[in-house]
Amino acid sequence: MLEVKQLNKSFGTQQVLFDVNLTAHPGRILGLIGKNGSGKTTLFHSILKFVSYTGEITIAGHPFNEQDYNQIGYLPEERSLMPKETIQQQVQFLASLKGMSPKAINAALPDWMDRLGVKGVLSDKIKSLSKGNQQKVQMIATLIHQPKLIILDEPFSGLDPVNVEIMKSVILQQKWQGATIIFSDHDMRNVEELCDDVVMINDGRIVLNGPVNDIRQEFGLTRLYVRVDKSADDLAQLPGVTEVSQLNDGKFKLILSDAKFGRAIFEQLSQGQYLQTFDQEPPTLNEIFKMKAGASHE
Amino acid sequence: MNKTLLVAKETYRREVKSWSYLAMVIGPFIFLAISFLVGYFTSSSSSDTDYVGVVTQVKELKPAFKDSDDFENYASLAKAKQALKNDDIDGYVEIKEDDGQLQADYHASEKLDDEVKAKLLQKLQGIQQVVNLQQAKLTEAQQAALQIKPVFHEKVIKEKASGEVKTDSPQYLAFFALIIILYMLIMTYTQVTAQDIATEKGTKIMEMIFSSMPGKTYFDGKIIGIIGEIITQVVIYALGGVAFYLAAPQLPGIGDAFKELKPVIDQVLAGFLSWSLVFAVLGLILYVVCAAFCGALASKPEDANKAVQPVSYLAIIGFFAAMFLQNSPTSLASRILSYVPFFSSYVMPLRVINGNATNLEAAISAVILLAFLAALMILIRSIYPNLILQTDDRGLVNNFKRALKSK
Repeated sequence: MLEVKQLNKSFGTQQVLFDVNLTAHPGRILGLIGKNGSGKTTLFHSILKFVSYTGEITIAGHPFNEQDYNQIGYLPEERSLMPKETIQQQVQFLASLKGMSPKAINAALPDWMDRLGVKGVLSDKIKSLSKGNQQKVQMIATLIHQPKLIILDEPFSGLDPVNVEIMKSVILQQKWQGATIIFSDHDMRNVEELCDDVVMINDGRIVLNGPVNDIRQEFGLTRLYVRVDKSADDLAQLPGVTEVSQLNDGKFKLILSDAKFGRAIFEQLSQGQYLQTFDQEPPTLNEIFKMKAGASHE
Repeated sequence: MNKTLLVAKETYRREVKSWSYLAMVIGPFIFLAISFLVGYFTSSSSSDTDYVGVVTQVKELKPAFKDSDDFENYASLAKAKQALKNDDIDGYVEIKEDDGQLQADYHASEKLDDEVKAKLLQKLQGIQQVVNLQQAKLTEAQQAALQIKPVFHEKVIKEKASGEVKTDSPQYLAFFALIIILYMLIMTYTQVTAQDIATEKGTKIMEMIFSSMPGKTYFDGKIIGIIGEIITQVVIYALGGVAFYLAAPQLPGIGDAFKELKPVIDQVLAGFLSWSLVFAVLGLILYVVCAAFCGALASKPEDANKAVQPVSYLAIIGFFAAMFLQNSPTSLASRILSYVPFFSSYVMPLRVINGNATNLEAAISAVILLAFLAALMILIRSIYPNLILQTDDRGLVNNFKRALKSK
């Protein structure tokens, strides 16, 4: 388990993290979301002791110590491998720093290559690999020693949907094996799909923290998806509707000022007749993110 | 394996297997081998062109030209002419005796080489001397009187401790050799170190590495690996030197010269085991540590050379200070610089060799250098991770300031 309490971090006179508190549990995935420059990477760097800070960070109940290094797997935001090294040399070096023996690395590496579907052989130089394959090799170096705490800084950036799914399945395997996982991503669908818990950080302050479903439910069932033979203007006249938009699949999305208007709208639209689609949901994580982070988010 | 040693091993492996390192280490051997071969063939070909045939009926002359590298006796004029025609010789000299006087006529298409001409005249004069003595019909006493030669004795007065530098002493030559080697190693490895670290920083692999070990420990491993590279190069050169030392007496062209110089060379080699070596080793480590720091200051690999320039300037200043101060080891500048880290490696050994500094003074300077090195290591180790993890380009000075703030 990872616990961060009252974490503050400044660079010179500029404070970038303010009283950050969060907990990540074994066997669960915590998603860290926030705008660019909101402090996510600095938070990771603080957890990894790359930078000094005030506050308390504990791993399995104790402050970070040298023994913890071998229990951590970290995938940085930017790709960071030596281009002139071969896959084998690169993973050998990074995994040996995690305490693995050369024999154990050699035994595990081919299996990891298969699991992540790396296109290439162990003697291929890193620079000869595609960006996606380089990222997978980096993921292997992050996970091959079976860490108990996994920190992934935007692990899916630059990957095609097929490779994203491969990476997701590997991350889920680690979760099922009991690892504590934290990852950051700008794609809220990934966060929603993978994460048990979410922490949203905005300008260095935590603005959301808790299980994904609980957070969504806190915002109420204020999103209504309907497929009816009416115009957007007609739907905008319904009680409690603040906004109407039509989705690509023809459905309308109605934003309600309060979830309680759902029943009245259902009765008005159906009038005892068949209604093809009527789905009342809480806001998506992406919507919550936009609400909290502001419209400036890309 | 200990993580520090893993990093040292990786640093060493990556550099030593590179073509640039191989070229750097083997380059001088190839250069020397080419120089030797060119010299050998040049001397071989030049000895061919200076080969002279000798034709004479004077019996006393024939032994003088026997077994000579430059001359060969021919039984008759016809044979000598044929040899010249066949290009076996460059010319021939016909020597006659006419009423007690030797007369030599050289025949060739080109002028006789000055060196060979001098040898020929020397031989002729020696034989003419013998002929003159025989013709003078001197008594034994008169002959003995003519054999008397002047006597020359050389007596060197021991120099005072604070006297001028004996620039040809073996200790001085050892010091001179060491500071040149030190200077070359510093200039080479400060560049190599800074480039290596800046390149590594450019790949941002450091975040993965620092998630596996403390940055301070990584820095230690890096320095140990680079020192390993230096030791490898020095050992290869030392082995090359030993091989040359053993083979040189048998090598054509340089064997005789080497035998003559061997006593001095032995003394120079013995002179390496002195304070000069202690200061050279400590100085080299100091410069490498500073170069590592400069490499970490660079934001991009291409900035490494610029970043390491201050260290290179210090090395150049130290080297030339030693050169300029070699004739004034008692000057105030010498005394001060011999205690200042970066320069003491060059200047203090000079003072010790000249008897201008005692062992105690040398030891104090070495301790100052060691303490400075330790303090610098502690400072750089503490900010190294912050420097390495800064990848935005704010300039060298701002990077340094930011790293200090992030401590």
